Amino acid sequence: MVTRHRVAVLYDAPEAIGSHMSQNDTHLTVRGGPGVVLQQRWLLERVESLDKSTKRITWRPREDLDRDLSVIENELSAGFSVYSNSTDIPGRFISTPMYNSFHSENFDIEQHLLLEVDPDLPWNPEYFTYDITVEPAQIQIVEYRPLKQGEEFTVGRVKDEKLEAGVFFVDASDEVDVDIGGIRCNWGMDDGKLERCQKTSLLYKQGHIAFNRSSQTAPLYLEQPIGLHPKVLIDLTEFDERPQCMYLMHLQLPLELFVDKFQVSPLLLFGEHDLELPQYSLQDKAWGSESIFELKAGTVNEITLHSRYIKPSNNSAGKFEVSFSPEIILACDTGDEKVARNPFYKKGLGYESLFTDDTSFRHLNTTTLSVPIPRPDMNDYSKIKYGTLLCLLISIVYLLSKIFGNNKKKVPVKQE
Amino acid sequence: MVGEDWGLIVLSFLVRVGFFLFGIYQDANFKVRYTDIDYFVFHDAAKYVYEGKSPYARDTYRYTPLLSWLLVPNHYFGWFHLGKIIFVILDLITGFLIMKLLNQAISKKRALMLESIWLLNPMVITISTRGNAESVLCCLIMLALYYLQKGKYTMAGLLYGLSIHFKIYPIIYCIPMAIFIYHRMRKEGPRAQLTALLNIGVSTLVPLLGCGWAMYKMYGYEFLDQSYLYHLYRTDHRHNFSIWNMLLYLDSANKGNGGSNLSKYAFVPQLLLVLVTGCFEWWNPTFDNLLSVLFVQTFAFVAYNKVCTSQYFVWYLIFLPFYLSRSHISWRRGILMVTLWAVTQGIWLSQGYYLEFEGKNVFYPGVFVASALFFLTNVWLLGGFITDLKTPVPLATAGKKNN
Repeated sequence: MVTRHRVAVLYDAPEAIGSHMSQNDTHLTVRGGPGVVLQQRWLLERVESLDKSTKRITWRPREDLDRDLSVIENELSAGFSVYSNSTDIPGRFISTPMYNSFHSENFDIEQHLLLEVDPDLPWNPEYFTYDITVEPAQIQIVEYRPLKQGEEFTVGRVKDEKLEAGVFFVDASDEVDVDIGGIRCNWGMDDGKLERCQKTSLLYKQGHIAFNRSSQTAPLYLEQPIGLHPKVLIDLTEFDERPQCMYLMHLQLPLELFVDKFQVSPLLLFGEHDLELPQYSLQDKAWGSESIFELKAGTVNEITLHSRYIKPSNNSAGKFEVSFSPEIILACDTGDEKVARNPFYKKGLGYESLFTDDTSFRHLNTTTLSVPIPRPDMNDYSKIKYGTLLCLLISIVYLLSKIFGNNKKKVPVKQE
Repeated sequence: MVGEDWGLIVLSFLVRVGFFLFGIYQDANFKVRYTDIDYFVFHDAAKYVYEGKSPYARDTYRYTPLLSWLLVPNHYFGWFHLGKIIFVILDLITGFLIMKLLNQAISKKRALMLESIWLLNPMVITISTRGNAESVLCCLIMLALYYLQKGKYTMAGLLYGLSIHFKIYPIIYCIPMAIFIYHRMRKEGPRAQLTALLNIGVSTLVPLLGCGWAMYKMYGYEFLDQSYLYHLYRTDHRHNFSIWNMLLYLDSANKGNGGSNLSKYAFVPQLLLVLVTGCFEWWNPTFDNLLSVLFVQTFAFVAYNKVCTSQYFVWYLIFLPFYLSRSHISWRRGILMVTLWAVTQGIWLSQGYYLEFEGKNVFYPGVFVASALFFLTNVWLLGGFITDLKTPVPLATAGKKNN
């Protein structure tokens, strides 16, 4: 079966293309620079399976959160996420009306993606971002990587592959429309030779709009000191309410933290929301919870979370810290469903699917917050056990001696 | 009841109104709410009931549905704070009953002081005005005792049964209560003794089983699980005053992994002490002594319980005025006892604060040692109470009126 492979590189100006690209008969080489992004997409055909469900797997390294979004990218949540609309819900997945989801800090791709053909992908979760869609008839793997100054990327056709490459620059873009131009190259299916490249231009609408963080900022931090009820503060004082728009916070909380829906009223809350149980009593049930809060512009928003009791440590003085990355999003109704897909990405399962197709997303800020959770040490177990036992024994002996002993006081002669 | 009694009731009422109004003001104007977190749970649960649903639809609602029914007017009249007024009224009725039951042989001045332990106690006042439901239970228990003293066993039983339906623990009072009745009816012969005991026994079972059955019919297994079973099987509580707390935490986190079973037997010393102290009624089967025995019994129950928070202190506080009215404990010793109780509690609270609000890892030794100190203090106090209980009351103050 033939794999369709597509490479797209985006530069910020037309001059950059000439100076950053070279080619020979069979290979194309592009060189990196500030803000350059490279997207690779593989389409793998599947033997039509009986399972009609769709699955989406996304991965984004935490370090990538600071990078500004380019116009060929959608903004993905930090960490490893799996979304599926199958009716069969695997263990530890949580359900929402649109999908079941799993979230983790680890790139567990092998466990969640079964490939019938192996395109021999060099997974690189440390630097690369992935957006993978598994449909009944095909699997689409999209990889993004920043191509930094001094870095090079060379591509040539491999066996059983239909390869094309595009080298683009941003011609014009405003908040809604994007116009990019560049060249597009194909490789011959028989000889694997690079065919003539053609000029091309693309015009589309963005679903995820890059936010200029230099002009306005939405600081996101935890109130200090951080106790067992960490308070997330989202400063939107620099922002104004906008018609047809909502300021939101999207949270994927690990099991160690939870939202009390009766206290902070999230718009949506899925997954583990038990208000009392410790992490270790719930760990087989769910990975955590996903929630969306509405925020107010022009003020500092407060969302109080709670930490669960966690397993005691084993002889380690190290603090236990749990991290999560709230996403501050401005979601707007555009009235135009074209924002749902473009040549580089389309909206899929995940929080996007909880909104109407014409919604656009601006990511104002995503900051990784870290909450230390105190826990006892198992090394103190015997001290605690025997200490408790000792207290109880002393108390019982003392009280029984009081009860059965001859300790009657002399009756005072006069009362009152 | 004389003018001074009414004066105290009116003053208590006014103070509560003040606290209640301040609470509304604080809720509206300050970040830290005055209203108790549990009140939100009752209030939300009552909303579900008002909408014809189960109160257990509200997470962490673990009480009898009757409590949520009590707060349905909140939603009918659309006033959030309404339920607190019910709690305040029941709290005042409890104070009024304490007045009625307090040994009349003591001086008026002393009686007023003892009554104030309940009526003007800031802890009691804040508990009911913040919307904590303890006053409902206190009022039921006090009413049951009121009718018991009057010899109206059916009424006493009905109210006592209802109080057990509300929270299981008043069941520990059945032994001293039975001993009291047994002795009181002694003159009338074994037949009358048996009749009286059967009378109160059956009338206790009627509301207990009746309410239990009705609630089970209405809300199913969830009622049994959430209101009763949950309290028995749950071991992974968050930090609280109990001596058992740390061990329970470590054992629950280490299930099937070499943890001890010690915490499974938490109820053994508790049950033992509650049974034995309950029998102190036998040697001095007066009504006054019954109230003192209930104080000591409850104190032992709370001290040894596997969970203990501040609101549990109210459980024995209702009996404190009676206990003090017959106690021989000197002023000096009394002050030492109260001081130690407050200081060790303060030590625990400081550790609790570091853990809860500063995220400091003070589980060991901090929280554990503080719990142990508080526990040992409680045990020492209990020892003092037991010695005191064994000391015969001089005839002059033996409360003839009440027998």
